Amino acid sequence: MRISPKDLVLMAIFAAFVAALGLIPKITLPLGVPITAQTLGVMLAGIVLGPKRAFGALAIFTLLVLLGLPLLAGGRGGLGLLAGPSGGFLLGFAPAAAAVGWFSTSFGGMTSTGGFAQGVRVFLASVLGGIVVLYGFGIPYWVMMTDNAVSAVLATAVIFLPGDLLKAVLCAVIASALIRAYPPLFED
Amino acid sequence: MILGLSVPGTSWLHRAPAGAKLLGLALFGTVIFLISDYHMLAALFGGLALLYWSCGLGFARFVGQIKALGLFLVIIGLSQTWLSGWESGLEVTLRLAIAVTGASLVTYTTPFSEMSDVLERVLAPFDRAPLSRLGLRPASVAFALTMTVRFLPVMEQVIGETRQAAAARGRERNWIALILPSLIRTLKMAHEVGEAVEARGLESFSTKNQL
Repeated sequence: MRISPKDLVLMAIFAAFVAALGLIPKITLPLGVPITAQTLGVMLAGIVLGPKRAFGALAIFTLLVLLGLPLLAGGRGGLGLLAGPSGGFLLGFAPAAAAVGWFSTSFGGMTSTGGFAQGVRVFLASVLGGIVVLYGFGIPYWVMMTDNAVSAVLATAVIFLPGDLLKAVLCAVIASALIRAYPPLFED
Repeated sequence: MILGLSVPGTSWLHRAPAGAKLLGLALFGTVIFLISDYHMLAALFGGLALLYWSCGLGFARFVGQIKALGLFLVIIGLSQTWLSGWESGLEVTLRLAIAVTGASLVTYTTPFSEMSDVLERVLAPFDRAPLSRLGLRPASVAFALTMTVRFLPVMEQVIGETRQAAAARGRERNWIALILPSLIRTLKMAHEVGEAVEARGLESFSTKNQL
């Protein structure tokens, strides 16, 4: 396995971008459910960087959070996160980003002539990787850490689903605009 | 500059080596899952609060974490009580609070630099055969982490400027107006920095012995 210095730089700077997304004011949905831009960063990483580099970028981000930098939305960080119920979601960031990239690539990748169909493909990849895979890490971890019944955990997790679906839509919109604004990005 | 979460101090926990604290935490995390008596868990919880105080971290940080967990603790406690009785609800809630405040104790008493030193030592075997074949070089991990930390304030500035630009057009709450321009600037910057790094001869972070 070879990582070119260019790729390493891209992963490192994208990790900083995901951290900065935590600074964007959260949107509060009805019922007071907060949605933050950071998991949108997970989806965007997959689409923009492809599976391997997306995994690297989010792995760097996760490592820095665990080592004690308050980079998670709301200024959270440290090892306490792993002991909490939501630790699985943090650990799932890198695999979920890789999954988004993998689905996106296997659906045909990004081209500058994609149009609406491509938007739908990005949406689907974001849902499968950024929601299904991410929850696949988050929910079992939550059950394991708390001994809670799976049904109770699922009932709580479902509150966040509308916000995450909205993020998948935003990811598709942003990716489509990005390819028009910055085509060289998807050439290699 | 983004500051880590660690709190300067001179207590015995501050002075203890980071590696030992992490091993201790792993042991602690295992032991608390073996304790199911809520009296003992409550005593441990009280002990941790005292430890925060005696290490100069203050009760406020202890209470702050419980507050941050608030909603989770309530949901978890109530659903467990409903499913298997209040003793079980109390046990699960206490254990979670202990696990989180215990783990944060390490974060609070260990500077970021010491934590990344531990990471470097843990990764050191990846430089030698047979693990070196995996290509995960400690030098490249260290390079990436340092690079990200260096670019945190830069990215904050990028997001901040984009926010001001969006606000000037009355769109400061529009995520697309915030994220898309920031992302384009990020990728352009990454491209330029990547070229610069390559031009300075950091050929490849592969298994070969460069850097």
